[in-house]
Amino acid sequence: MDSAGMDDEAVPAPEAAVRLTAVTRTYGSGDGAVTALAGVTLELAAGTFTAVMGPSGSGKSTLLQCAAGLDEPDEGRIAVAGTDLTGLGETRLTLLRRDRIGFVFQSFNLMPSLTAEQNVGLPLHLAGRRPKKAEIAAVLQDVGLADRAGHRPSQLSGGQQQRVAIARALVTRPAVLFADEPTGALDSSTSRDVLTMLRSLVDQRGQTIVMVTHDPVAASYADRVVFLADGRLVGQMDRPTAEAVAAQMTHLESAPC
Amino acid sequence: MLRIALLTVRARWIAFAGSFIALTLGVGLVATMGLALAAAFGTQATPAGEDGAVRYGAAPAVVQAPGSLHVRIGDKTKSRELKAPRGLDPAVAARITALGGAVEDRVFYAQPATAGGPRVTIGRPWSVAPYAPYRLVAGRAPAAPGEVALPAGGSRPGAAVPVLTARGPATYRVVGVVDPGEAEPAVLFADAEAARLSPRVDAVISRAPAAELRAAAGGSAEVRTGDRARTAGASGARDDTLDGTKIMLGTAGGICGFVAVFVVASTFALAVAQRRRELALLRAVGATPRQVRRMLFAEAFAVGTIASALGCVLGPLCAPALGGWLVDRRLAPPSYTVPVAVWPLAAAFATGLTVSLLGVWAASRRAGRIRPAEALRDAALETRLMTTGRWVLGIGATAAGLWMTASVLGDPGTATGRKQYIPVTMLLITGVAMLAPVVVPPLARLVAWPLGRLPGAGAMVVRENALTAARRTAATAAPVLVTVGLALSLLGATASIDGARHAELRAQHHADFIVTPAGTPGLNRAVVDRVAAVPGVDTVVRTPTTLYALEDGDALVKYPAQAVTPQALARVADLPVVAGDPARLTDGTIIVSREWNREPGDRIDVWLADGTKTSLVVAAVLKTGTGDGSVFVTPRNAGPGMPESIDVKLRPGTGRGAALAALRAATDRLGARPVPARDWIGAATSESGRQSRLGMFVVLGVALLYCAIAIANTLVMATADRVRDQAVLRLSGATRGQVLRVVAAESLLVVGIGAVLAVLVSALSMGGVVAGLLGLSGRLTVVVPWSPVGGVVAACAVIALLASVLPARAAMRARAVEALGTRE
Repeated sequence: MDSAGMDDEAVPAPEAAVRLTAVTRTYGSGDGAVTALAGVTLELAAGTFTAVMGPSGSGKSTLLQCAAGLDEPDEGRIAVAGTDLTGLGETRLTLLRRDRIGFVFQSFNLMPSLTAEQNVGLPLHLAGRRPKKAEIAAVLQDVGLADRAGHRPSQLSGGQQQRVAIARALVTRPAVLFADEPTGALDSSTSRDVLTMLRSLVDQRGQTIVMVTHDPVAASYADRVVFLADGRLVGQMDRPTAEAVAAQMTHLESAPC
Repeated sequence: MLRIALLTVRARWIAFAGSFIALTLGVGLVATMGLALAAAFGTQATPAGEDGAVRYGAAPAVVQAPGSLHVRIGDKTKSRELKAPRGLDPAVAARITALGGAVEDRVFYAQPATAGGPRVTIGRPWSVAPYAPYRLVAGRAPAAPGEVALPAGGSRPGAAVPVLTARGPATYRVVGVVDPGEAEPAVLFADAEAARLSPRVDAVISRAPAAELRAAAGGSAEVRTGDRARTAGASGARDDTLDGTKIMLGTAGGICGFVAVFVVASTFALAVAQRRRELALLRAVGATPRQVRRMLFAEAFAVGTIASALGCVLGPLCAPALGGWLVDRRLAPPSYTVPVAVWPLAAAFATGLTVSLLGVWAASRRAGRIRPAEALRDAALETRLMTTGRWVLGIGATAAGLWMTASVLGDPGTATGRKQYIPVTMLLITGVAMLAPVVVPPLARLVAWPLGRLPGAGAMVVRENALTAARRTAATAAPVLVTVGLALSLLGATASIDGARHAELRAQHHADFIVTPAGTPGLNRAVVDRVAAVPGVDTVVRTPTTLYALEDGDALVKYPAQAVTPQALARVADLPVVAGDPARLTDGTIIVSREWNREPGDRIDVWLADGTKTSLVVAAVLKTGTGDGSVFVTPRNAGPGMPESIDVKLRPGTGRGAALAALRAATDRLGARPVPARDWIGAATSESGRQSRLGMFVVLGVALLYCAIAIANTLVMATADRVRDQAVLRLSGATRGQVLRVVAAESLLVVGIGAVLAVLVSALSMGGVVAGLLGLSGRLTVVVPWSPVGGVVAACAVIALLASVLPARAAMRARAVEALGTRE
């Protein structure tokens, strides 16, 4: 199980960090079947910050999970950093996720028994590496938590916990960082800090970020917003403002369907 | 990975402690039973004499008839130990005596009918005194037919004492007093008188060289010298207690092993299931399925090794206590002690480690398949109730149990054996426990239905929680299922069998009075003759005996039987006749049970209790029955035993009072007394009931104790897992009291579900036993031991309440909002 071999399947157009081609995902079967994604094609360039928006049930979380290799589409192809995810086994997918993909959850999902430092070092441990203290410290420094390394999640505020989670996602230097409502559980000023930090990661380190959100203000930190409704792409907006996004969302939510 | 595992121990210590406790105690239990069982096989059987007394303490060599029966079938020889002493072949005795320095020994029933003195029940010729040895301390040796010597402590020389023998009472003059020392106390008669009382020669003591003795004995007698001579006379009738101990401990060991494996496996599985969310998270941040599996295995290995080692320390601490208890309750012979042996401990250790690894293996395969996306959802929602393995095991074990029951429907003797109903119960419990997640939701609706009638939100919460987390409910109900299922099935089976015995005993003794021994081992001939002479009554004299016969021509089988006087048998006993006529019972015929596979008129070879071969014609065939009341011969074929009881039935017109007075007069000072038949049957049943209850208590008690701990353990684990749910409940506006009531109701619901499943299992396993009893005796006997089973259920409920409410109360000291964060 060697992750190095995956780079061989590199495809042209290196600037596309994430590429979805006609992706369909249906949950359940028969009458109870729910189509979360109905043929989504989307290309996200490297070094950009993209927000995915849509009303509840529009399929935005499914889109994110499929793109991050946490869920498998029924049809269509997904490529991340030049590697086609289609048909990879569970183990190869895991290795790819570990090396190339970072993921941040709405509910932080830190291991309660581990300190901030240990949580951040976890992916490296799992990869069989003994993380260097300096390496972890540098990542914690990046998210502004250098002085909280020895604290457990229960001793940290929500914003701090989310920043530990972001540090954990960044420690493997992933090609793409996926974030599912990263500010959903935070108050507005803490949200601003986290979003500013994400923005600076894009600007200063060229990190590719894909973020699902329902908050127009959060979306306004992105370079580009894509809108989903009923599992389909229904629009996009470059250099968004909170007001424009809010207007578009209102339109989507009131649209008859 | 192990480091991560170790770090997580801190956060999950309750689950770890739960697995640890379950495994330590489980291994301790298996080790204790293993040691006790190993000790039972290592214990020497007590010699035949009472309390291990020696018969030939100073004899150079003893020649006696072999204590077992050997029968050649084709080119194989089958052997069985004989139940009654067998006399030495007179020709052999003569050859041995001819070598010189020989003394003939006769051992027979003789009992001085005087108050005081040591209890003496055997008589022997005076010549054996130097070899037993009996040392003369007063008076002289008996020489005339009317003289005896007695052990010290009773009558003095010169006294006249009545002595009971198999023939009846006779008065002897005491001429000497002996000190028996370690030897079996005996009434010592003059040699000629002993030969008159008991013509059979039991052994010859000889001073001749062993080689000559062996040559003279040929193949038809055994020659014992040295230590083997000391314990001669012991081989014929060994102490049965030790065999009972082995059977009981073997059964108990089997049940304890099953319970330990069941509880440990389900506890480990529960511990893994509780960590589903944590494992999904590990998967999400980059752990491969293999890494997750390896982490779980490493944990199980660490916990398994340490806990099993601790359990092996517990075994040697508990086993001697168990051994002492068994001896105190006469469930084991006095010589039984429990030393520490290595192999039971090694086996217990290996079992513990294997079971913990297997328990985790199944769970880790599931855990490895956890999709990382589950970390994003609420992990309390279980997506799949049943895995393929669970289906296969559940259906397989249930089907095997049902098949085992069905396969013996035509063979009632097997159906009522404990080797049948105990494995059936275990298989069904395993099967139902595996299928529980499917069965639980409808069952929870059923059991919680009364709750739904109550006002308030509590009932709804309780029911919905049990329904949503069907797997968790199933896991917590599993120990209750095992506890109640084992108790109900096994106690029910034994009670039903006892009930059938009681009914059978009543049918066999349609008598008004039973004459039974009073302070004597049996009834002498004078009692029999005088009771038979009482006017206006019919009597049946019964002598318990043993018969040996070939089954299917290739196995020598031992059958318990009764020798009865046939004249009044049909009037006194209600025999379940299948074919033939019991009235045709004569000295040349036999009544057999259906398991002999014979027809009336068949001629069969039978060996009597003392090994005498005879040929009898089948007079009648009876249903097999549950006791020893279905094989009958006449007293001539009884062997050397004394009668055990006389059934007395009044003829029409005979007064009860007059008959009783006549019986009292007939048995006066003869070591016998009449008792009303109902009292006698009651006493006989309660004695056999007491023994089987005590035995069952040992078999079940230890296992149930362990189950009780497992119930507490599982519920503490489950409650710890639910701190967050309870916090949500509190934040939704529930008071502390309401939350505790919900917790209490939930655990009672779990106990209820476990108990209902247990009733289901027991109905199936007891069904086999009841069907078997029906086939054996033709009666439908179902006895449900309500009070002990009710007690077990109540104890389960109390334990479950304590184990869930107390930790929940402790957890609620924290503020609800803090508790909410504990899972993150």
